[in-house]
Amino acid sequence: MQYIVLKSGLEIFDVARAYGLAACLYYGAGFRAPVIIDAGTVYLLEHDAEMPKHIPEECQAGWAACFDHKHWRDVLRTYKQAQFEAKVKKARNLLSERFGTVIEQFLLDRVIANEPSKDLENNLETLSGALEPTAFKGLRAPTRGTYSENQVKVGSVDWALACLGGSLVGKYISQRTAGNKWEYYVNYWLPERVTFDGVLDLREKLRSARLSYLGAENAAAHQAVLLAKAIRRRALTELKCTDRFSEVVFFTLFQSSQQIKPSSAGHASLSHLLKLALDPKPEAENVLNIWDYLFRRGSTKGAEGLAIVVTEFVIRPNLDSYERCLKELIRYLRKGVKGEFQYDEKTLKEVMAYV
Amino acid sequence: MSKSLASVYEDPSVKDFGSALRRALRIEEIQDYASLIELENAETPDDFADAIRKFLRRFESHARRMKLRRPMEESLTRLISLVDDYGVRIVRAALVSHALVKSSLAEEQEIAQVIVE
Repeated sequence: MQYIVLKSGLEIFDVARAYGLAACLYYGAGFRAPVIIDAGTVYLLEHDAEMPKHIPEECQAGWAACFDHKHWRDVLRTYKQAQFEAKVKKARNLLSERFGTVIEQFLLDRVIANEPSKDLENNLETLSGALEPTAFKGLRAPTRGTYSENQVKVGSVDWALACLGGSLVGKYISQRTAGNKWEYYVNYWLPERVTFDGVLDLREKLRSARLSYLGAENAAAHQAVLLAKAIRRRALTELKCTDRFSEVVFFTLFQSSQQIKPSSAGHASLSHLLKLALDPKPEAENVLNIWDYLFRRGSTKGAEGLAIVVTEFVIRPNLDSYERCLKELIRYLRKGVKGEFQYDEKTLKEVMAYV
Repeated sequence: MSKSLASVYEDPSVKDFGSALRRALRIEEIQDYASLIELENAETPDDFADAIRKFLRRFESHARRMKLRRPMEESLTRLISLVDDYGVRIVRAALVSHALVKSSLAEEQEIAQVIVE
């Protein structure tokens, strides 16, 4: 069966909905994973199974684990505890009780015929700022005043799917910063063509991988390198590895007074990095290992310059960033670098192919 | 961009000068970071030629004393012609790249020999 998620233009919201729908199909069809394909204006989900109408018994535990508060806390970060619990419950009830109806309305034929389900009440829900930074408008915590902003409201089915997808796939890295406040560096990988279980597997492998980061861009660049390493490892050990991501989208959430607000955001192409990761030459592995080392070294006190130039090079590989990287690296050689993390002639040639 | 950078990087004259620059940075008694900075700051072909000239002058005195291998004359001619063909930035980046890479075994031995003496 084929399903489509129409893109709204809100990048993270769109991709989170696609991942959310893929999760429903995955658990509904007894762990048979759909393929998510970026088809321009829509995300196309190809599923090699009949349309599931409910969650089968053997998948109930996995489905219940999808609503673990630990992961949902991140996507609903802007809500206070009581509201947060109510929102999780609401999403869970909506997706579990109307499971078949929710999935049905994303069927390719149904969307083309423009026949929204009459059985499904699609109430409006406010989009969480921690899920989609462009939807961030004003206050989220309860106040005496009544605020309602229609422009950040979306249908409750889309909202629930996006929260589910975001909680499963979005990476939220929390870090204490100056003034004893928290910052969250958020990463979402945009699929080009991925299998949902492949995404879950990669996400699980990188769940605890993190450093002390300088910002969202630094975090995104390092996570992208780790993703490339994980994809390379998988490609070397499995017969077939078809998962491809096109971009990483990142943004920062920061604590301002009692509120969480968004700040710096951007996106970076992953195509060069994944091309390097899937290069069978051993030098490609060396390049990724050296970059990972440079990020780790750059996360230590006094070596921030290294983290900045490597981040810039990974995100924007061009002659300028390459030269800046060279300058910084040569200075670091004086401070001592283990031989295994130094470029040799062949490895550096691979890096040049990346420029 | 990457194709020209990689092809310049592979050029024997760049390898020859890159090796000399690498040794000039790695051998503790030389540590010629002044040449590196001058190369990094060179924007025009004249600046680049000037930086190379200064580097050679500095390197020559150390090479004579420590019996180091010097860049060949043909390499210098070729290097300057590469600047005309590809521009300063690409040749500079390729040259400095060689200063970054791990030394070859022969070079390691040469550097170790200098340290022993």
